[in-house]
Amino acid sequence: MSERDSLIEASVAAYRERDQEGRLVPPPEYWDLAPEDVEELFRRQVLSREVERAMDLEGRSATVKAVLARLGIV
Amino acid sequence: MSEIDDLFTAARTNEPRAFARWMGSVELPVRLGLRRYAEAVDVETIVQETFLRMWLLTQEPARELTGEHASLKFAIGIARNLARAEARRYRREHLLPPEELPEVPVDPAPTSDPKLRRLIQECLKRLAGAPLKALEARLNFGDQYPDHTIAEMIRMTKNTFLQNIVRARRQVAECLEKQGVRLDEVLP
Repeated sequence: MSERDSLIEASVAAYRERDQEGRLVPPPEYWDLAPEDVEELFRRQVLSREVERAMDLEGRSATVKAVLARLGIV
Repeated sequence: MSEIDDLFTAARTNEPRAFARWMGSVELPVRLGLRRYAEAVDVETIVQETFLRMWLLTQEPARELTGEHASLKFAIGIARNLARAEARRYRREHLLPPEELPEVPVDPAPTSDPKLRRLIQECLKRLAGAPLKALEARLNFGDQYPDHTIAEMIRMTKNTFLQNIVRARRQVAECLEKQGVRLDEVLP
């Protein structure tokens, strides 16, 4: 696997930290992506969320679950 | 009223499960509506912030949304505004698309697809070893923990974990293609 692949993959997951002001922030690796990598990142994020949705009995992607967790709803 | 509108209306009566289903119905069109912003911002962050704002909207009964798929259209508007603000904050506005973008075709996805789920499960069964371990861990915990924590849980370094995710993703995609399913087809 190339370093590029690793950088892209690190930004695919749905988990996002919050900054000191409470805003969601991308993972550190995101900032090292080249402009031509972001289309691939977008593609992998879409496909990952679809796989997660397909695999969840309630049809929830990791994005939906992450938001529900932030809201204290599980 | 569409099913999306019904779900959002139900969510506004303080029904979290309806809000979860609403998010599931609009996630893909909202995400696709941000495709041209992907060069400037992290789309995943924007989608999650959009849903958090929409939850706040469910708590404001006086604020009415009207028209077919009104909540989806409103969410796409919020998402694009957030993307513009985020790009400005990080001084990446030069990467933004023009202000006037055509409306995203509204084609809400079903909340789950039993056939696709079965095929993916079959392909996951064909995975083995470290790629399987890594992908299962990402599927189970990817919404709750950062990758380095998940990697520690399964005793891998973060880099090895990411390598195994990439391998697993390729193997699942190849397996699905052999069964006539191209995951890329969800992307217009």
